Amino acid sequence: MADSSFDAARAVRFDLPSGSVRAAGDARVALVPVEALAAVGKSGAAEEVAGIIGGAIGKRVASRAGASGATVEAFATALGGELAVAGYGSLSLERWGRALVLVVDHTVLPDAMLGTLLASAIAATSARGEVACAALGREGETARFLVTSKSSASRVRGWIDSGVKWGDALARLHSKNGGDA
Amino acid sequence: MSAKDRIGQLETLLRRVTARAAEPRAARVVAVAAAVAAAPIEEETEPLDLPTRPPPPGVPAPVDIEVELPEPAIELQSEAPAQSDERIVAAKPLDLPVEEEADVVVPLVRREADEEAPQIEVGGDFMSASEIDEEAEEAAPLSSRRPMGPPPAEVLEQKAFGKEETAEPAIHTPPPESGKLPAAPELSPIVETADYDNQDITGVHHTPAGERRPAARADDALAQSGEHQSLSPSVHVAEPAKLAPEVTKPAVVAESAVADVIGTANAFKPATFAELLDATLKL
Repeated sequence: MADSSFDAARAVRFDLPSGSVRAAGDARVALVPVEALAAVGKSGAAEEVAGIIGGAIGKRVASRAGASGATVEAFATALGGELAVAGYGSLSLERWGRALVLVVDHTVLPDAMLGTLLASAIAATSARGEVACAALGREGETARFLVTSKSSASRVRGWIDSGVKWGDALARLHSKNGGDA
Repeated sequence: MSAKDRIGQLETLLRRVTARAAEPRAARVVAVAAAVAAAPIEEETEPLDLPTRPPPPGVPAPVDIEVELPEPAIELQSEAPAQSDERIVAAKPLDLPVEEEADVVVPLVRREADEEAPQIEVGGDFMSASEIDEEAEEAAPLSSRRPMGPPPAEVLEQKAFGKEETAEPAIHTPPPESGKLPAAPELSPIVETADYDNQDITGVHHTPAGERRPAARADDALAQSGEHQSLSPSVHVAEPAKLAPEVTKPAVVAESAVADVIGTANAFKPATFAELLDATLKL
């Protein structure tokens, strides 16, 4: 089991003579301005780029927290630490009944890219391919994403687009599947 | 004049009358005026000589039957030939002694313009003006002629917009008024003295004078409703009982322990992140 707190030591290594930046696990990374990420988010390659970034983050989380035996707190600590080191925002987890909601503060990524990034990270950590993150809404600098299957994510997006509040959408999702809140 | 000539004249006269009856009235008046202005014309009309079918052979010729017509009942006084437009005109008023009670004596019908026309004396009684007025006031019988035309505007207006409320006399006996009924006179008891033996036999019990039925109890609904009043020997028509709601409220204590909760609901507390992930993916 991983530690209860995120160990940020040696999370990023700058090799100045070689002019490289390496993350944990010796994966080479690059520092890009956030405007570049915003431009990528407007392009057609946003989902692919976000998926690659999320996959890399998920592998690092899995190496830190373990593949399947990590507690919710440990997973939240590991994933939140990796996102903070990469500069994508501050992560916290909310559990609404059976629904897992990821809350990201101070993010620089657009919702579409951040949702794909989070889903890819979770999928890479848990080795489950059917993971989707539906954006529930943004309040100021706080963005919420529901972790669920792809089919349920599309239903929730439809309810929210039709004007249903995200809390009501979660309740409707539970009642539709007979879950206890 | 033979019978044939008379028949011929009568047929001519009949034809003329028929023709004039078919003419419009105005034209007939003009025709009459022209006839009066003109000199009397002796019209000689011959009977029409209509073709006749000869009788079949062997059949005897028709026998001439002479028909003797009776003399005309009315002999016209005029020298002029008979005209169909002649009218019966009343004779001149006779100089009869005037009765004292009558105000004015007038003939029944008089036309001064027709004085020179052939007249027929009509005998009859003379009526005073007051009698004529009384007769004129009488309503015409149903079979008499009445002026034909649209009803007056007031009648049409009443039919169209309804009749104003006027106090018309009641056609039938009005229904009895609702409300309190007058109390019948109090009957004196048949049995003056208490005879308990007779009471048992006859079944007639006497309530001593001055003794009144006690007031109905508050919980006696039948006594309060007054339905048994008709059984009372003293005849009193009581006022109809006033209806009042009878409210029955349930005895509910606010402190009652309605709900009895046994145990607590199972809370979802995933031990690992994988368990939570599986739960959220199943939503």
